[in-house]
Amino acid sequence: MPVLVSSPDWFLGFDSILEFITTVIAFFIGYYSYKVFRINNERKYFYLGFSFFAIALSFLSKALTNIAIYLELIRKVDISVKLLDINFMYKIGFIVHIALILIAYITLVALSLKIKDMRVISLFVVTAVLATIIGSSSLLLFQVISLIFLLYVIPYFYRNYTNNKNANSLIVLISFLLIALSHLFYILLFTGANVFYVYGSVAQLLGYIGLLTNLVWCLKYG
Amino acid sequence: MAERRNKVQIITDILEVVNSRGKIKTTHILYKSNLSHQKLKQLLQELTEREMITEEKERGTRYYKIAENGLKFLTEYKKLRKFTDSFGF
Repeated sequence: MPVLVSSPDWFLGFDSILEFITTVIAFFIGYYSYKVFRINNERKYFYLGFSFFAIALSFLSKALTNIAIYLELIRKVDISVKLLDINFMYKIGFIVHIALILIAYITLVALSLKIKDMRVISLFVVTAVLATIIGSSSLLLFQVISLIFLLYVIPYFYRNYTNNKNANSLIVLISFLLIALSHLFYILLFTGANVFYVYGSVAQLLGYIGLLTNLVWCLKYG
Repeated sequence: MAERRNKVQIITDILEVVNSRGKIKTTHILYKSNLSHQKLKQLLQELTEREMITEEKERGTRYYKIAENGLKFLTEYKKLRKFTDSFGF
């Protein structure tokens, strides 16, 4: 659990701010992708929008859970009550966060590998989410599975960049590399060096800022 | 094999052809848009009704020009597509 165990003290609270920023960025990306779907009715844009809406909700859930936990920590109640409440909040927030992120990444994998069979996609979702929740090292497993999914998506963005050779597809590639790197940092967190939590959060935010830059650039300059 | 175009893609193609020429005859749009005469006639009527293109007659020949709504749609749609296309899906 990064917030209570692994985050450096000075970083407590900042992570929630970064997660709120990520929520807003992912929401805008989802909204504009959905807008394209509303115009041309192409399902792939619906799924692109859906995956970013899922990411937005996921980070919103994580940020709210972290804030609730901080508030609980400073509440003047018995430590056993405090730990029970924190444990409950953490479990709910964690399950929502990982389920939505994994659904989002699997949607991106399905789009990049052109998997259209909903039975295959649902199999991926059920297996990944259940394995992560039930597994003994849930958070580590979640980060590893997330990284694996992104490693299947990134070559697609690389090919897209080499085919188009434009700045926008390069920004998307770099952004997803940074998001994948953030999962790698979160995995390294389990070596005990809590600075990796900060690196992970910053790399993740930079990745989403990259996607926002691409969006703003396209909308402003076309 | 080329992917089948949906209605929005066909409309975008028509608007781009009309926009690139400033003023264009139906036969030229037909040639560029790769549609049947009947289908094109139907779409041009729809675009005229939506005030995306305007129709003019000069010495018995019908010409089409892009209207403000058409230009606005084309510009906005191209920007949005550039963004979604950057993902390559």
